[in-house]
Amino acid sequence: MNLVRAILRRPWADPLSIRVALCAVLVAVAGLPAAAAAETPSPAEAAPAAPERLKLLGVELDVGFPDGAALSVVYRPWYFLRLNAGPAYDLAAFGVQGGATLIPFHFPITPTLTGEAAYFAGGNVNKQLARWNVSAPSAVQPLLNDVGYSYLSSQLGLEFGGPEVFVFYIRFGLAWIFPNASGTATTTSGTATVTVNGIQGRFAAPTGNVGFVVYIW
Amino acid sequence: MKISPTLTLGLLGLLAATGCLNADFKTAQICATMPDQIPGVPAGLTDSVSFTTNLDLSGLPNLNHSGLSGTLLMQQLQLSTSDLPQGLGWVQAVDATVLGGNEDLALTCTYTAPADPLASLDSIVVPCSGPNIFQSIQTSNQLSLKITLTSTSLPTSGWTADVGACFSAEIMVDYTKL
Repeated sequence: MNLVRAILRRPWADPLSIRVALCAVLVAVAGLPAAAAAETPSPAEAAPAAPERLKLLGVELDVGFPDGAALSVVYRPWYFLRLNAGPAYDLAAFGVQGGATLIPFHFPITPTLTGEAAYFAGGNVNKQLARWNVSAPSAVQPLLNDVGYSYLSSQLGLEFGGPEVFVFYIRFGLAWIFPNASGTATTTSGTATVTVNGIQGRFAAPTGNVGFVVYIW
Repeated sequence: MKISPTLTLGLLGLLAATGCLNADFKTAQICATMPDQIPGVPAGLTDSVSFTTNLDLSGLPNLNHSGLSGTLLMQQLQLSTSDLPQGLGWVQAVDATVLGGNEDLALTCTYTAPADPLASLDSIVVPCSGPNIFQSIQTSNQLSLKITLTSTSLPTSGWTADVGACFSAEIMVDYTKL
């Protein structure tokens, strides 16, 4: 008791200082077991599970208008951005297409915004129409023997599925299509013979796609 | 459900600004040729001969819609004949004017005559340029051309000829006005 009285008589030994000192001691004592445990970690705690790495690469398959069927390699640098590029086939010719999709939520259902561009080499549209028992007016047919096009599109869509490995999507939007018919059409108009050498154009049209993405690596 | 006029106008404006409400198509060259457009030029004329020919385009799609506008520029004229021994070798200058529409539109045709005035040419091609003549054909689907041939040695016998004309064309479609 003499020692306690001696301490309490010291100038720094006011009640506030004592309470602070006691708190520090309690915190230190409480931390001792944790510190001891940290010095001898259990095997499970030694290698805590790291968050699973986002798969960067995948493949995408989709069908729609105006790109027909397209197979793409997919690269996803961040969860909210997916880039794709690959070949496409529109029933008349092969082409190449590519695009970017913004995916705001890493969630099983999420809206998306997609921009795409594509180029299709010239193809014979008359042959494709014949498959459906349809034929263009005879004067126009020579123009349709070699029709190519390119387009730009923007689409809003919805994606469903597990964004880690597989998503299914449906999209709708607008496409700006730039057709190029390189044939020569000849028709008669009254006594005149009219010849048209190639047509290029630009028009907007609705666009839609359904497809899926599988993330592989 | 009530649709806001402001929203409607805004959407239409957005669609128009992004090119969704219009389309355009163009061709590098469209040519029309007509037989016997010069039905008979009498002999004995001096200096020049003029004739008017009508390019009948009635077989083409009707262009007379308010939502259609376009550009039609003359590229060249072609004249051919088989009635004259020297063909059209005697032609030294060609002038052409588009008739009709609101006003006659003069074309600038630059024809380079052969150095030999006795050269035999079954046909001649005359490059021409000039203003947009789309409106001249929009309402009638035909093009009236006045062609004047100048020479110091016009044919001494009657003759006929075929006429052809080539243009570059661009058609713009405004969906909101169709």
